[in-house]
Amino acid sequence: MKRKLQTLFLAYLEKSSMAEIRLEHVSYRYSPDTPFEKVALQDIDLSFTPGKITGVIGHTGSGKSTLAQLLNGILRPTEGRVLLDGEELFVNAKSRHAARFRVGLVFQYPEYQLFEETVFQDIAFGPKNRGKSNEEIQRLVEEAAHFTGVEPDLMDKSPFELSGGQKRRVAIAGVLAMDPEVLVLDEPAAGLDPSGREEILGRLVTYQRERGKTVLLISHSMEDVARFADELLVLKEGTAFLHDTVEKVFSDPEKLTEAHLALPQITRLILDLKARGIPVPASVHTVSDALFLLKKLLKEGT
Amino acid sequence: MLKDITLGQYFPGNSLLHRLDPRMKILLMLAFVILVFFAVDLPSFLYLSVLVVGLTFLSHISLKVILQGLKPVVFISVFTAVINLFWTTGEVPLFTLGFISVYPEGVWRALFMIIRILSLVMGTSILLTYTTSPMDLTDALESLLSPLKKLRVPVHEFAMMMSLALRFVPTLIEETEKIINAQKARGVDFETGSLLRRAKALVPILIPLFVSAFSRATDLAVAMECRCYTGGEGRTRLKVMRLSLTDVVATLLLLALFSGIVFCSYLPFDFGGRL
Repeated sequence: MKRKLQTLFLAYLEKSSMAEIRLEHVSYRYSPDTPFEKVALQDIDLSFTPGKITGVIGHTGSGKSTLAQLLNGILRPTEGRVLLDGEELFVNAKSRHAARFRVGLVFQYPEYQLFEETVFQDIAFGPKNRGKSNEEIQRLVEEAAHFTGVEPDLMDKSPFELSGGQKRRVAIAGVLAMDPEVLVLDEPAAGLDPSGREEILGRLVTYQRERGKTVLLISHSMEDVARFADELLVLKEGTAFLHDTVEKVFSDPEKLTEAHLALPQITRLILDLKARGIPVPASVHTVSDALFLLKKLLKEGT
Repeated sequence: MLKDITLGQYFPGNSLLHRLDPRMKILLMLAFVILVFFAVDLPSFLYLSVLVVGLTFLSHISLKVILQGLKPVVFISVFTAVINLFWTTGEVPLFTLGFISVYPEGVWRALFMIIRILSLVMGTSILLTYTTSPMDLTDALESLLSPLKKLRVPVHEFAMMMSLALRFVPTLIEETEKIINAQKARGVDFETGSLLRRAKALVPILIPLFVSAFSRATDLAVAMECRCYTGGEGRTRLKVMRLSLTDVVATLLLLALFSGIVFCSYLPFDFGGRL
């Protein structure tokens, strides 16, 4: 009885594990104090809303990938602090190591991290490093595989035999299996075909909704963040240019242009229609919303 | 991190040394390496030090950068110096600590050894790697070794392999860092644990590195074949190396300067230390 209560309580804890990441005046410079010094991030001061998907978007070289690596202690901020639930990441080697498990980071093109003999072992690598028991590892790997769409019959294959899309899913599953509280995804769909993009992003969103995780989705595709993110952080030349809900950020196209970004194509289309006097709302950012709206308009027979 | 390695790196520039024919630079470097060993006493080692500093100015590369490039050899020079300091015996010891005696000869030897190692590394890297792009270097090697073609040595192929290897050093370093970071993010711990544990932590780095290196090699081979690469036979060059009068004069001048080491070692001064 007691055991059952305990597992229930643990399950509850897991569901409600919404960690908050906060950046306090964080700056990062590559090769500081040398002639090659390069400012990547400048005085970033914000926190990511727990339990939401925040899309991080910016032009090439705006510091997106650097930001990702600061969040789990791969890079140490040159100035400022990164706080996870109010605790600083860089206290010592131990705290930094612990943070790696709490903030899961999926790098760009993560396929190159595969190395084990079988897919199962590869996904199990993270939880094993975290010191989970064998039963737990079994459960975590199966869940991660389920969420990312790695079919059970692939589990005993070598990861090097898989197709590109399958490799990507296995690599992402390898991070999900560590059961992180925060998930940082650096361009998880880069280089995949349209249906592959759709599938992997859709699955990650399902995972986020079911588990209530805090997710950061780094992307340069306005379309993707418009569809999947709740909030947006726009980076411009290493500074946090805008940080607000998707609607608010998209309501000011001029400001986006300043950050060398453009509205999603579908939003531009709707705004065009509006400019031509067709009664449409300005806040349509996804193709499916637009489809629904246009169908309705056509049916009304204008 | 890994990126800070400057030994063997090329610093673009337009100094005299940068413009000198790379073949001449290779020959000069060989001469330099041989002549360094003619320095045996204080005057010649002083001359050698001045010579190396002079080369630094000639290359327009900042002394700071060059000194940074010496970091990897600091340990070996200190080690050699210490060994020489304690293991050289002479007649009158400077002082004796228990069973260890230090002789003035040992002090000189230690000093000379440090100068010898540092100037060897500095001289060769300034003459060659810092001021010559890897491509020029391999082209020059190919050209210098071309007489061996008569003996059916595949000189061009070796030169091509060398330039490809050099070309991929930075790429592989970058790749390694990427993989290290990705595995760190999956909780690999390189910093703690026994030696065996740390060695085991390298497996997740090495396997992906090999996999990617092999696939890169295949891609490169296919790309080269697509551009009809068939080896050295009948291949023309974008940059044809021609020896100008300036090259010859500069080479002879530098050679004369290098020979100064031999001259200095025959000067009739005696400062006590001699190798």
